[in-house]
Amino acid sequence: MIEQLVYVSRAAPSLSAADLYDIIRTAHNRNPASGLTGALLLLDGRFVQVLEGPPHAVRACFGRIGRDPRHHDIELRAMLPLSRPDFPGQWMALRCEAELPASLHAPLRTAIAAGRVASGASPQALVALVRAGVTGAG
Amino acid sequence: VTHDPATAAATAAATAEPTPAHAPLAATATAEAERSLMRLALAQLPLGLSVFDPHDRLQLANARWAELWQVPPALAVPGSEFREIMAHCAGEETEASRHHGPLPLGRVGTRRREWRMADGRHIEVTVTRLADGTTVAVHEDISERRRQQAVIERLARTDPLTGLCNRAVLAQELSHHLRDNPAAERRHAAPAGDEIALLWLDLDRFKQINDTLGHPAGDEVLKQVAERLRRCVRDTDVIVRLGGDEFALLQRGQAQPAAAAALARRVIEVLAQPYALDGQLLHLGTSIGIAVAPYDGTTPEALLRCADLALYGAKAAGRGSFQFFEPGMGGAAQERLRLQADLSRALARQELQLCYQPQVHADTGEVLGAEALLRWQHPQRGAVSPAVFVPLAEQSGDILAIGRWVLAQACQDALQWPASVRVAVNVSAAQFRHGALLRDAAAALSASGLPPHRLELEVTESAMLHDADSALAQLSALRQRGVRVAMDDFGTGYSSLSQLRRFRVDRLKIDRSFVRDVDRDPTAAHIVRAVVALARDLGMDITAEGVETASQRQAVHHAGVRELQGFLYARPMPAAALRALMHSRLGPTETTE
Repeated sequence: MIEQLVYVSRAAPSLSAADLYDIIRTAHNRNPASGLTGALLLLDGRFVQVLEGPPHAVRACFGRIGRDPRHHDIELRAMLPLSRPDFPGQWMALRCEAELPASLHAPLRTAIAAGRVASGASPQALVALVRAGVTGAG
Repeated sequence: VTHDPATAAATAAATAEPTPAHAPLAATATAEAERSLMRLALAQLPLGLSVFDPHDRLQLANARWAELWQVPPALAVPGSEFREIMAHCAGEETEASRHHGPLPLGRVGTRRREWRMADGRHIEVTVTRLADGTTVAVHEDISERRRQQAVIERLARTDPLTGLCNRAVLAQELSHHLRDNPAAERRHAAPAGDEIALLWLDLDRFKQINDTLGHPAGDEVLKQVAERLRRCVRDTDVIVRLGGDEFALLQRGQAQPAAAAALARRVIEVLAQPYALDGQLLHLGTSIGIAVAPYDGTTPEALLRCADLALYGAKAAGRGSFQFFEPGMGGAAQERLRLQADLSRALARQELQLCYQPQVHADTGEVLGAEALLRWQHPQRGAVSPAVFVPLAEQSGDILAIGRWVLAQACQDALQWPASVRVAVNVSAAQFRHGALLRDAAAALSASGLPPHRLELEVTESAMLHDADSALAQLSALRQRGVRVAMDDFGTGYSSLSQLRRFRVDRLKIDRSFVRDVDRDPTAAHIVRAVVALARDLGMDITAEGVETASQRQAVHHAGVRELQGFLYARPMPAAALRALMHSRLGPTETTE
């Protein structure tokens, strides 16, 4: 059994390409050993990240993420058991605004802004949008 | 108008030379003979020659000129416009030549220019402009010279075994692409795809193939590796063989780190497939370190260093993996691996040296022997302490090759010393374990011709005790051949009296920790006296090492030790320096404490 964790957060104003590179390379260096996969989207200065893998690895990773000064206003949207990973082989796929299909921009903005308790904003819908963003399917 | 360029050019030469009207008949005849001689010389000249007047009209040219430039016969005549002739020229000036530019108008002087013709020929023109504006030019076909240069340049860029680029190309490519690379401070922007990823890889288990199947087999594997790498990369990527089993890949114009990670995964998978060699299947793996510009560095040196460190990070993470460089890399574990890899090449690169510390008779100052001490001069780090590198060599197994070399070198050096002087060589536990000691010592003695009794092997207590029976057998075999055996660092291990009787060594070396305190600590002094008594009892010689002060010397001398070694007498020195010292008697260098 694996676990999937979804959160959104706000990127620090000083976030640079070098910071993004650092986030992803660290994921590539660590995640193959820990069995973590997932994706990270950046749109309008907001992050959406999906983490999936062995529960202890997911939680330890989220613990580090929570202390990372490169983002704030972290909202945990979901932490669910999962039978199969949604992002197999993706140690951490990064997609920024320009790489995301334009048709996804509006639904992603809505889903990010919806908040945890908003009606109709299921975490599964958010994960589906992230998947669409990573596979490039608008 | 003739259509034969040779005749045309000769005509041009002839008409260009005005005949003075007032010249006497005889003189005219001579002049005519000279002119025909000149026409002949010009026609025979293997170089093209042309003269254009100050108005850029052809005045004189030979057939070779017309042939080189493939000038239409109609234009190879006096009076033809330079511009019109050039309009027919199927070729262009090379970039390097254009870069120098022609001689500015109105300037007198000589310039060399080069043209590449449509058919691939290279023509070099040496143009001289005279004061009156006349231009004299010599034309030469330098195609063959250029072809040879191109071959030489290609060879200089290519690794001959694999046909891949060599290390020099990597440095060039890196500096070329790093020069104009934009900085990484694009806020909130994605990496823009102008990153450069450097992947540095080496083969796991390659050394074993070379060692067990020989270099030709190793070379064949390297060729197959190169072929597989070619299939992994895109056209814009550069593959470099850095030397040995090390390769680098340069990846440009793709989103990082994703693209480098994908390439690394592909390479690891492809190189892990078995290699067929003489009907045998061999298995290799690879580890990859990755550095990305501009994030990790913007100079070739910085990027190479980061990729190298990342490679050791990958090795630490386990074989068959890759790692991106991270600022924390270069920590202790990776540093160890890195040093270990450097050490395995140190012998071949002649970075190892032996120094000798004399062993002196306390009363006479006579040099009785010298202990060979291994030194490693690392090309970047400088001197590395044996306390650091010997354990690394023991762990990697390189100690066997190093130990063999030390024995051979020490015996050779000792041969230059007086016949009464011994050479003492330290032996590692690993050499005992592999049972190579007897063979290596015998080989060193027979290669050098050193009498066996002049070689003394220094073995630590712990090395002897590790596998006591095997050690005992090897030591007795050595002693039967006449080689002397000393027990090093005596007093620090756990050897009991009965074991000491079993081993029957020729000498005990009192550990420096006792010598250090012998003049201050009654316990240390007591131990030294006990060891001396024991050695006498068993008929063994005795040496005190680490003697640094006159007071220590006095104390060990008082305890009955006569052979001394330490800074008080001499520091370790190169073989040649010791040889010069041999005939003098060494006294303590410190007179008072």
